[in-house]
Amino acid sequence: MSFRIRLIYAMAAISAVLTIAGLIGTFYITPLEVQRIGFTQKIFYFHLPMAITSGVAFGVTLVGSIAYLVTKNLKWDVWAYVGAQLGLVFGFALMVMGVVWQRSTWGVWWTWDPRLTSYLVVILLYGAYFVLRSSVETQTERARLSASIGILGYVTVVFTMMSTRILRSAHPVVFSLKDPGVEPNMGYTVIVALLAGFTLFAALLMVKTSIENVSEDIEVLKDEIGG
Amino acid sequence: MLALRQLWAILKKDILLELRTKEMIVSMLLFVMLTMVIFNYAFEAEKNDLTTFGGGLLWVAFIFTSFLGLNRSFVHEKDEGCLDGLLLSPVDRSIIYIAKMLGNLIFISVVQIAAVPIFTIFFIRYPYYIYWSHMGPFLLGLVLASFGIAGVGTFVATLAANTKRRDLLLPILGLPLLMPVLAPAVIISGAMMGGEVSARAAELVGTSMQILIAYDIVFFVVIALIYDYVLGE
Repeated sequence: MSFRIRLIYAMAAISAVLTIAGLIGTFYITPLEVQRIGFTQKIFYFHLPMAITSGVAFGVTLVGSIAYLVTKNLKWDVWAYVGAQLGLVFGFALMVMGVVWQRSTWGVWWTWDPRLTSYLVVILLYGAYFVLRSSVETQTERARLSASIGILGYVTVVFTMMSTRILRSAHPVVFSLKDPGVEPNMGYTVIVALLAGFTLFAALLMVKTSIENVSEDIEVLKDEIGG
Repeated sequence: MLALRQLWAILKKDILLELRTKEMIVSMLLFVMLTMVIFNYAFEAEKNDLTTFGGGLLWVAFIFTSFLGLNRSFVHEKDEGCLDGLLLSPVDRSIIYIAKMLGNLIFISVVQIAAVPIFTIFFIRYPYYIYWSHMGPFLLGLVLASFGIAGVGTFVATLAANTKRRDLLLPILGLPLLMPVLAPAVIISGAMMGGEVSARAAELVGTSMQILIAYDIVFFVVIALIYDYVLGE
C-alpha cells in the first residue's frame, strides 16, 4: 500500500471514531436544552460542523481556481472541481438537516432566513458550475473558464451572506457559545464533530482527486490507442 | 488617450450595429412589456394597487429583460468571427471588456428609461418617485444595479459564448452571481415607490446603496483581473 492510500484509510478511521464520539457526546453527555428549543437543539452539534466543512470545501475550490490561473497546472483544476463537489455534498446534507430542524422547532419546512437564503443561492451557483464544466470539451479551456467562476462564485457567496444578513437583521439567534448556561461539554462536542467533519472531508478529497487523476490518465491512454 | 480611442471605437461599433439592426432594444422592449402583461394576470392588477410589490416586480422584469439582451451581445461577435478580429487587434483585453460592458449598460438603461414610465402607468397608483426627493435615490439605485448587471452579465456572456451551451449557461450562471445586486435594488426601488419613507426604511436604503457600490467596485476589479483568461488565447 502506498503512503497516500494508508493516509486515506487513517483519515477515514479517525473520522469514524470522532463521529461516534461526537454522537455519544450529543446524546449522552451534553445537557438537554430546555429553555427555547428542546431536544432538537441536538442537531446543532453536527449542523454547525457541516456548515463549516462545506465552507472549507468551497474555499478549496477558490484556492484551486486561483492556483490554476497562476500556474496553469491541471492538478489544481482537479482540486477545484473536487472541492466544489464535496462542498455541494456537505451543503446538501446541511440543508436537509436544517429543514428537518426547522420543521420541528418553528413548525415550517422553509423560511427565507438569511442563512438559508444564502445557502440556497450557493448551492444553485455551484450547481451551475458543474453545468459549465460539462459544456466545455477541451480540458485546458474547461479549467480556465470554470476557474473564473470558482473565483467569482466565492466573492458572490461572501456578498450574499453579508447583504442578506445586513438587510434583514431580524433573524433569530439560534445558539451562541457565549450564552450563559452553555456548558463546556457542549463546546467540546461541537469541536469533536467539527474534527470528524474535517477528517472525513480530507479523506474524501484525497480519494476523489485520485479518482479524477486516474480517469484523466485513462482518457489520455484512450486517445493514444485511438479509442 | 489611445485607450479611450480604442474603447470608443469598439463601443461605437456596437451602438452603430444596434442602431442599424435595432434587434436588441426592440426585442428587449417587447419582452419587458410582455412581462408586465403577465404581472397583470398574476396579481389581478385590475383590482389591486401593486405599489407594495412594485420594487420586486420592476426588477423581475428588468433582470430577465437584461439577460435577453446580454445573450445577443456576444452571439453575433462569435458567429461573424468578429471576436477573433477584436482579439487579433492590438487592444488590451480589459478595454474590450469595458467597451462591451458600456454598450450593454447603455442598451439596458435605454430599455429601463422607456419601461419605468410604462410600469408606473400600468401598476402604480401614486408614483412618489416623480418628486425630486424620491427621484434621486430611485435613479441612483437603478444606475448602480444596472452597472452591476451589465458588468457581471457581460463577463458571463463572454464565458458562455466560449462553451457549447451558450444561451443556457448565461442565466443559470449569471442569476446567482447577481443575487447580491437584486436584494438591495428591490429594497431601494420599493422604498421610493411607496410614499413616505420612514426612518428605518431610509436607513435600509442607505445600507443598500453601500452594498451596491461595494459590489460594483469589487466585481469590476475582480473581473478586470480575470477577463483575460475567459477570452482565451
